[in-house]
Amino acid sequence: MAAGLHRRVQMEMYRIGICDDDKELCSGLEEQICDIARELSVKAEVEVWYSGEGILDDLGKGIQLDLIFLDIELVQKDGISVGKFIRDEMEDIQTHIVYISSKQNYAMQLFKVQPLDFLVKPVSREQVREVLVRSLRQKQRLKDCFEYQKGSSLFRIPIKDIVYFTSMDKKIRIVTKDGEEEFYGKLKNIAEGLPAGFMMIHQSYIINQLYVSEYSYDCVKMYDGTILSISKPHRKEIRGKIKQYRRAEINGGL
Amino acid sequence: MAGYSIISELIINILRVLLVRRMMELFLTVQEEDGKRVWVGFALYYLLTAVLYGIFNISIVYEICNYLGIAAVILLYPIGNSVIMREECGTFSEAPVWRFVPVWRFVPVWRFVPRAAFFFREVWKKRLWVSLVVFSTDLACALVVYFAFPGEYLVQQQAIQTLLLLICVTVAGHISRPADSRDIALDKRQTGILILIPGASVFSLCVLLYGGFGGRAAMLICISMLVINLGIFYFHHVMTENYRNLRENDIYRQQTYAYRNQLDVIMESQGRIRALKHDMKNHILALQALLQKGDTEEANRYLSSMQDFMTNPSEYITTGNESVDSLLNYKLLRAKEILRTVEARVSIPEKLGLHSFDLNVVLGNLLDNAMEAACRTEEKLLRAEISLEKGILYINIRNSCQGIADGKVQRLETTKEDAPNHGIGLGNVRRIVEKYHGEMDLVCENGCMEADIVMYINEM
Repeated sequence: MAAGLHRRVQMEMYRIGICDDDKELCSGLEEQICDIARELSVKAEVEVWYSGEGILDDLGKGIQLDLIFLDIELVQKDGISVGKFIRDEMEDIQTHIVYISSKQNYAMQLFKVQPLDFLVKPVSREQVREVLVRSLRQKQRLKDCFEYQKGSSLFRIPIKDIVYFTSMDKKIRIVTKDGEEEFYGKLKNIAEGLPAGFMMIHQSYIINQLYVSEYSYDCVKMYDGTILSISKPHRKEIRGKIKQYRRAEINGGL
Repeated sequence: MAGYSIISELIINILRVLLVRRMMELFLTVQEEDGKRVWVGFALYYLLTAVLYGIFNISIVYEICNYLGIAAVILLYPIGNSVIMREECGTFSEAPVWRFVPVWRFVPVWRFVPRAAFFFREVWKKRLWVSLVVFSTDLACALVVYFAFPGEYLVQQQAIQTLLLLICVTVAGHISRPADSRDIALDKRQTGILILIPGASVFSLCVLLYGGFGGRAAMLICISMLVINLGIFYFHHVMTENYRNLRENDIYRQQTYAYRNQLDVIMESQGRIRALKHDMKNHILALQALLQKGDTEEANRYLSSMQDFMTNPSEYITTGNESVDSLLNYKLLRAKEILRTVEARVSIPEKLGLHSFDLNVVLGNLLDNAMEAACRTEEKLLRAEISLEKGILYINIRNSCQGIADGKVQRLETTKEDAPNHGIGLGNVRRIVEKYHGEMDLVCENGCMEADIVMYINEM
């Protein structure tokens, strides 16, 4: 087979950030996370920031995190602007953001950041565990690589970097988050081998759900602002897939 | 000459059949997948009437076959997702404030019923009515011309008759706006009148034809029959409007009820905070004393009891989205009274790009159904999950249930005795979900019923 999936085996360090001005909460949460990580036998590293500016500074310096517990009501730079910075300025959509807040009402802006979850203070151990498991599960799915052949050599692209596939003539173009690749092949053939997060929205487009910022029934808006239309015969299937995906999410399956 | 007249007869009949179809579709909708079947049905109907008209001309035999043809074609139309004609008003126990039958409170308990069984229940009344109304209009048009121009050429007669039918269909189309007359529920008396009037006019027209009457008087009778039939279209339209208003009224009533409850909840929360504030000085003194003694454990306990005091047990959901909050608090409060396990997880923003009215219909009906079904089981479980992600609203409501085979459920039927009263709520839910280009699934697994809904909030 010319193109397919390749599973990476090695387990990397899971980097978790906590950003809250309540120092007690931070240390409590840190302890809980370390404890749960041990229980799940995951190698985790927790780092704590007490202000929005602090975390923004370090993120700007290039620190990569897998998961951030972010307080919404921070002084000066609040949780919304930190989230926006990560998504819009850094163009990072892979970092999971979990908002914590003492309030239960959320503004629409928060949903634009697409947080993994919202937690209300006080945060219970089960909640942290549930969020951590979900984050790990989603990340695990993205660990795989997509493999394709070009000429006589084999290439690999991490699934998490692929934005969408598009076909033109006999070629398939892979649009990744930092560029484009091309190889000869048929979109239909690769569609079967792709993981659940991919959806065929058009006979010449397969998108990665991860990079969708907004759905509408007849088109999707990707993170970079590209709008791709969902062709009529695919609409029902897409609806079904989204539903299935969400259902699996809450039932803890997939 | 004869050849031409046959050809024009055939062509005019095509027009007539198309008009008949148009008239039917003022009341019935055809699904895309059934389109072909319906076309074939009309083609057969066309052949039947063309042949019989050629042989018998306008006569009792032809008209009987014409009616049978119309009735047969109507059978092809699926009358799908909603119960069409309701029998009578039901009784409702919990909220006697509502006088009308609340659509809201139609509580179907899940049970799978094959489509055929459904057909014989209520839908036949709608089919009967549509077939009678279409047929009596067609017949009246035919007879007006038949009596007005006795002995004229058949072709001209037929042409005038079709022209008359065209006028009637146009008028009828203006009277009843197609979109809203398709699924309404009427009670026994209204149904009776709707069926009786075209039925009686068909009868009198047949008497005219069979009894060999003729002349101007017969023509005038036919014209008045035609007018009465057009009146029936209007009557049907008014009843539809009325039904819709009643339905909306019910929902608004329900909403008012929920808001009132929410107001109580808010007042209660306020009251608690005020009470705490009132005693604040004493609390501070007590805490100070405890801390001075160095009894941090007791101080902690004291603080957490203060927190408990502040939280209002009936305020489960506080998303800031008032209409959702009030509805959920209202429903879940009742659910907690009758069920053992009630869980809800809601993460939606304060403002949603969705009519709160629509969301309330969806949530209210589903929660009612789920509660009704769950309280008949051992587990008494209800779980609701509502979330917004990437412009898609996802709703999942799960309840324990009994007596349904596993698998995807297409249609659900109430187990209540006054069946026609119930099961409409779910039709409303489906309609709203479709309005937002969404989809609803009802899945039954391991004694759990799950309603799964996605709706698109954004239009790009």
